[in-house]
Amino acid sequence: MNLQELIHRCKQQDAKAQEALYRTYAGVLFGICLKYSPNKVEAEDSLQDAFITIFKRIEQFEGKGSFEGWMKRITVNTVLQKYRKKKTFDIPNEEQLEEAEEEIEAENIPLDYLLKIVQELPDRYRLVFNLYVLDGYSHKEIGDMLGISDGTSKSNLARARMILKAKVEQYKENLQ
Amino acid sequence: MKEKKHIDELFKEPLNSFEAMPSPEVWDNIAAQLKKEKDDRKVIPLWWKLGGVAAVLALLLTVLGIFTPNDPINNNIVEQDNKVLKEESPIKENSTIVPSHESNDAIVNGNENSEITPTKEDTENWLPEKENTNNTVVSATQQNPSKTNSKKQWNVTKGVNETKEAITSENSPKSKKAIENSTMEERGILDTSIGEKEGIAVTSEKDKNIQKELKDGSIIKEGSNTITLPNKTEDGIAQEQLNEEKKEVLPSEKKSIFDAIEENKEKEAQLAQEDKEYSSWEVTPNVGPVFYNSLNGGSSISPDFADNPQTSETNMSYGVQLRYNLNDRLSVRTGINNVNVGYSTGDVVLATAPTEVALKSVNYDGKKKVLSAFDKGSLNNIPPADPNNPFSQITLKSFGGSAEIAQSISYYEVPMEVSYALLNNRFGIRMIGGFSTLFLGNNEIYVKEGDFKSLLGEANNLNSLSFSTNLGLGFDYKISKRLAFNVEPIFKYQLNPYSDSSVDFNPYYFGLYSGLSFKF
Repeated sequence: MNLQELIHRCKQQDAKAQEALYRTYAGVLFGICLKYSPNKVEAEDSLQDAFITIFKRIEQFEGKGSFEGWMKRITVNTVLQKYRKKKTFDIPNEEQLEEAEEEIEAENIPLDYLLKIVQELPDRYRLVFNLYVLDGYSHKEIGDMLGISDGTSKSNLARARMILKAKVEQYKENLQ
Repeated sequence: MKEKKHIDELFKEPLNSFEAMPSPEVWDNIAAQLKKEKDDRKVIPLWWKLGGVAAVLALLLTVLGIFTPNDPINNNIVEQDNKVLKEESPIKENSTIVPSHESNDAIVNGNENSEITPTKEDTENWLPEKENTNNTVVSATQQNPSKTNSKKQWNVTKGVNETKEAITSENSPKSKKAIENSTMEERGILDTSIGEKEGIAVTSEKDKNIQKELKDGSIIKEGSNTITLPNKTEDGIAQEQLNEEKKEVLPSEKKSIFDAIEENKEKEAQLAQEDKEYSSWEVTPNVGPVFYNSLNGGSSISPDFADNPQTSETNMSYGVQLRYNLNDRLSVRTGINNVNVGYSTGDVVLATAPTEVALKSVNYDGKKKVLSAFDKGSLNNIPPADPNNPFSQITLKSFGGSAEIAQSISYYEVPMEVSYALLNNRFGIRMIGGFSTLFLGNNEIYVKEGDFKSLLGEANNLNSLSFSTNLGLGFDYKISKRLAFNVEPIFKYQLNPYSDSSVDFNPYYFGLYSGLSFKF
């Protein structure tokens, strides 16, 4: 079954096609959920909501652009919505940061560890870091998505980088 | 020596292509939820389908309603014309008076000739159509186009009249004369009358050639009508006598033309009366309470409020409807209604906030700091003042009470509905289905807390044009032939009220409309 047929059958709420779609894309989308969430449990929760939304809205997908891109956007929005609602304001003090060194010595850091320290970031730092660095949104777009100003987005990102850098360095120290 | 790279790059490469498998329970949960929703949603597609069917029916019937009544009669007449023509043609050839080509002569010939009998035999089968044909021809001759003697006249539609008029009207002046002649003359003087008529006919030479064939057709038909006369007399239909040729066949039925015209007029009035009773148009001013709610919860104002308690406000809808009855049971209707709907959401707190963090679905008209509503609990942790952080600039307001945010929307609704009468006695029950076009009128989002009430602004996510599918029942009690009292509980599901597709809010409204309908 090709993708178009799969989409078509999902539009008709064919349960088998829905499962096939899930099996095909759960990996990619769960990856996104893990990066945007603080832990596996919440990531699975978001993945579940995202797929429900995808199946509900698949009728509105008109075949313009990439289907995978469309699903990824829904997934990201699902996670954002959750944190927008949950604890948008639960953020540590946001004093301006002085420009810090953002270069780091390249080293093979295991993926698990990278993911872990991203997940450990405070919610909004994590979201901003993901949106900006991994998904390429601009600060203005991020500001609109999270209901914050682009200045806040910038400072959140700097903050996130600082924390991550510190943790990577700490990891390297532990190795030595 | 290790090369340095930007911290972003360190994460980008591995994390961008990162995939992981969730636990198997995730799919189980999704499957369960999908199944549940599928079951829940089964109801809606049914509404959609019914609405669609009703709309198509409405259109079809409207179109058919205009044309169908004409068609069978027209066809019959045409057929009949041909048939009569065929049968009559040999007679015509035998006739001695025919050479003048004058139509009236042909009629008389036909009448005099007993060989018309084959037509006579068919008379019974054709009777209804024949009457119609006859009537129209007669009426044209009399220059009295609308109503004639037949009881079935109200079935004969304009189209038929027009066609027949077109055929015969051009020779009406001379027909009139012929009628005058014939009223005064007895059967025996027939020849003279024919002579006179011939003379008159000659004067209208201009049209003769063009009309010859047409006249032959229609007038021969008149001839055959004459023969059906004995049947018709039982119905008390007398004005066939207006045609001189009929008079000759049935001398006993003689009446003066004035009597006949008089009688004709009476019948006309009677028919007009009858027409009125069968009037197809009905107008219904109506009013009723309307309850607005969402099928799946959610909030049209902000996804943050999706879980908050909501209460539907009971508003009013009023307007007027115009109904066209296609037949006893089926009718189509449209109209215009003003509908006000609204609901309020509880468990919110009020605060002034910079527009960046205030509700996105409200149009603030360029104001920088506005009053807004937030989900209860979301403002427990406002960060210390910081000019760069709009969240820190939120100031909680309390007016001592539980705050609510409410939305009210006014629409102008134009329904297009079909109704089918399940019961059509003095007390009637109708099934109603169709769709409405909704034009957005005023709308506002406001907050209230105790006695405090303040307008936030207009919602910016409402479509100015949207649709609903409608399904309901109508109960009516006929007070008189013209007047009825209606009560109609109707459920209307809105298809696209919000322009913002992220609003997971599927509103419907339920109205209990009552009204008085007048037939006219």
